[in-house]
Amino acid sequence: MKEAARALVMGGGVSGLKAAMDLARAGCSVFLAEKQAVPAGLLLGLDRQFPSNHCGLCRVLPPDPSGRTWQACMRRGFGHPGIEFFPGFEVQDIQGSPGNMSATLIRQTLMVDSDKCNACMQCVEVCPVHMPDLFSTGQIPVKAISRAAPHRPPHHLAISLEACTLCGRCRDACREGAIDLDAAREEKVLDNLDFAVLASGVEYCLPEVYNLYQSAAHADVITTLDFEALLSSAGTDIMRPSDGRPVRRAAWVQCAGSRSLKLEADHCSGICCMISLKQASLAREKDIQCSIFYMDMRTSGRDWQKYLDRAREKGVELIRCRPHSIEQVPEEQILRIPHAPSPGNQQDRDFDLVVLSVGRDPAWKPPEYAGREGVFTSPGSRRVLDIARSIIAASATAATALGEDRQESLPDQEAKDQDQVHSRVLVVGAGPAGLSAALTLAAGNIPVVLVEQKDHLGGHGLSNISPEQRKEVQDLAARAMEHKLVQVYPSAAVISCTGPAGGFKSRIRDSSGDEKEILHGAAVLATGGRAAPVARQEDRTADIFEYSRRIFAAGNSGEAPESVIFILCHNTRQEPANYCSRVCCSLALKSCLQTLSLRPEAEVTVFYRDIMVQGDDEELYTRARSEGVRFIPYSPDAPPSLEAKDGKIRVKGSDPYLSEESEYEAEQLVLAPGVVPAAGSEMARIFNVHSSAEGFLCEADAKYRPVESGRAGIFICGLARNPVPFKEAVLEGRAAAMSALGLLKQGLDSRLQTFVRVKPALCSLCGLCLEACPFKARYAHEETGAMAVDPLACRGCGACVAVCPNKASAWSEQLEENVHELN
Amino acid sequence: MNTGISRPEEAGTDNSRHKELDVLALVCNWCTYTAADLAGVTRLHYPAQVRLIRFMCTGMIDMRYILSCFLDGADGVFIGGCHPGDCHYLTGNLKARVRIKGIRPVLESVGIPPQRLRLEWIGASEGKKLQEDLTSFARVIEQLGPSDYKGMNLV
Repeated sequence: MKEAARALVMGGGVSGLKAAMDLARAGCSVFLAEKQAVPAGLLLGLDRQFPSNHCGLCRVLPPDPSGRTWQACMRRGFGHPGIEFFPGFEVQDIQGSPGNMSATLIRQTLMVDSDKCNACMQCVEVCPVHMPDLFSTGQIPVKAISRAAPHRPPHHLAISLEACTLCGRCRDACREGAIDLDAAREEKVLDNLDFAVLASGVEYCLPEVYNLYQSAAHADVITTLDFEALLSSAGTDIMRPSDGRPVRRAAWVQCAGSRSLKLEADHCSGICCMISLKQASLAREKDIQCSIFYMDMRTSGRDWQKYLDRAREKGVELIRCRPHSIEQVPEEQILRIPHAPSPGNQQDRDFDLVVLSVGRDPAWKPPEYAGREGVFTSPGSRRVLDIARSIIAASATAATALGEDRQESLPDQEAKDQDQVHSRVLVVGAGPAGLSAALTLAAGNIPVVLVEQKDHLGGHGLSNISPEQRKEVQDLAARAMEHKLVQVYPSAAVISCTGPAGGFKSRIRDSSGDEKEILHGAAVLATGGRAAPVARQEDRTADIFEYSRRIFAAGNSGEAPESVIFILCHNTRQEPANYCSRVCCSLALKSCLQTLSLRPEAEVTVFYRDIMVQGDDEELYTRARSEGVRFIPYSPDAPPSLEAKDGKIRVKGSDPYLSEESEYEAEQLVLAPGVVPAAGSEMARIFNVHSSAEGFLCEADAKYRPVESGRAGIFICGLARNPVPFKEAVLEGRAAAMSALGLLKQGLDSRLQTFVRVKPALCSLCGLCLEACPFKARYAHEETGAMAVDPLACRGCGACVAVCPNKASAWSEQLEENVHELN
Repeated sequence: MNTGISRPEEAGTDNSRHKELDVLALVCNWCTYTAADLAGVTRLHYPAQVRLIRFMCTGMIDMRYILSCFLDGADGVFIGGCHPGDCHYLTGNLKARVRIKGIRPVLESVGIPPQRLRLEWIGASEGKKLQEDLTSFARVIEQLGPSDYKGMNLV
């Protein structure tokens, strides 16, 4: 067996932590470098996160009954037995080839010796260097030597070497000798690394660098990151940075530093719309009047559109317009935003505070070593991602890195049966997500049973319009068919799944009606989705998937209609299908461009609500507009009306830019009805997991455990979970496989411990513990009827111990000593 | 990890008045205990008679623990958990809420005024709220005076 792989993870934010913990769980020895003194990155300053408006970073921590893993809020610290954490270090360079890489780490933050420091704060007093603090971009200046994070004890001081001039005054002031400035030049070299994962995120745009809205001149023009610090529940009311008066009216200006050709930032940062909505919703709770100036409200996630609706109900005002400037009204100390919400309607609005919604720094580039062989870059380090997608991307990157590196890391079959944990994984659905999950697991030496309803593998991936992506799916399908660890059941369906995590029993029925029982330790549900049906009353109507396939089918020699009208968000993003399907907008833009390239004189009109393209897909939107596609926004209250006449389609809609009703005629009408999950509620019933009203499978935690279902051992990914484009479906499949792999590895660990145990002599089989367990970790044993604990599902909350009237439910012996111990 | 028992220096003159009263604060490891840490490092004072006891989750606080606190001479029991929806274990805090509602009549029937038991949601970054809640609770206990069970050592 190969020795454990040595992996370096760069970045200790949520992505880096997730990648490091996944790799550690899979048996690697992990080094984690983070340039700040504390882990958690941006999340240190984010108290509440959309869409739940709750805090929950601790949920990424794996439960560990042995108590060796840090089990407390990560803002207080971090510890993991498989991870060597290097706080204060940044990777400067990586050399060598996979298996023999070496990384040079240089100090970015110098820690004061916390054993010696007595928190007299003399050093902070004498420090001459002021700098912006960790959570804001300059509103709250701190010294170069300061407390590492608000939650850290005061003797955990740290010196930021980016700002520090090494003048030595703090060292001289310290009577305890706790400051060792010589260590500032300390370097560490890590040798013999097998691979590295880059998860250090992106840099945020600083408005003063680009002189956005003259922000440097107005103290009350701040960024969303600054506002987060004001909003923090550690603070009190929201005050103006300039004069400390309470804020009564606040405005958010979207796309500051994004979606701008002038700044060469032709990208959408993707999460700023949601951040502003969250901040405005929370500010509404403090009775502040909130207005958001936006161009497209990009609520492109499963529950995000509903979040927008809730924000509107709370009284957040949305103004569709990009303001050109922010003016200071000198005598009144207020900020004025001149804008024109509709043509010819010039207005001025006054605010106490203006928040610029910033995204990725236009000039930001990944470090040079990002592209080297053996360095795996998480997509979260190429563009801005929200927490759930960062976690998925980090897991998937860890899985890719592992898959390419390792051959063997799990114990052999005998050891598994002895522990009553089956190492096999059932994967349901063989689309892009299911195939990626199956192959990731197989690469980790886990036998896979792949069940597909159709008689061939590939799902929707086979009808993808991009030839490269089609090829990728065909390759995946071919590899799955050939792989000796992947057992494929085409034309089959799962009809039941019982048992606890690690010991599931499922029945599979094939097309001839034969049934087969399969024992498996975990399951990945990737049952995918399909296009929502459209009512086709008129001829010459197609849905977007059909039209794009047709127009891309013949490559550059196909035929295009001479006029085409697209209606996006057709019967979607409103009840009952109140979510964005995420694929239609970019598909529509690609189809527009293809139509024009086949027939340059074609007349293309797009009726849309918000164009939801993220990241660099924004370029498609820019190109479509420059090539003459007509974009007309509509509101769901007044959708365009359709009429068929003389073999043509007539669409009537009101054009807000012309302020009048207009009529458009076209040969072809293309509707984008969105996607729906294919087998959601049916799968939810069979596997006993939750599903949403729309039929999407629900995760245990929307932010921090995105691919785990509420039932331990069942993982969900791809379109069955939420609407995702192709690339993200692949990532989700890999992330789900990585989680399944980690769970099995944990289950196969011979030192398996549980948090709680049952004392059968005291148990009266009352069943109260079954109801109390929030993780479905309790079950009545099939044969004996006695209560049992599923060690893979139990997370150690102690609810069962508290409800048991007979003290039959008890903490494990190891825990009993230290749970109530006042350590 | 930090100490479970917190006894801030009795520097504040305000604290010395109700020295003999004992208030137990049973707090959850994930939110309220972090808030207590934050309160500590922000140097916020809370009344000196409050002792913090760390639980993994408020959902594991058995009714018997609360009763034995009172029977063992506590003058007040404060329970601090995560805000609804924030619970690390999904619903532990809601279980605590139900349990506390259930135990109030029991307390009353044995002569313990229900005001001596209080449940508050305190998030990880609400160090200030922790201070305010503990201070106001300690004030209530001060007005109620020592518990009838004080010194009986029934447990």
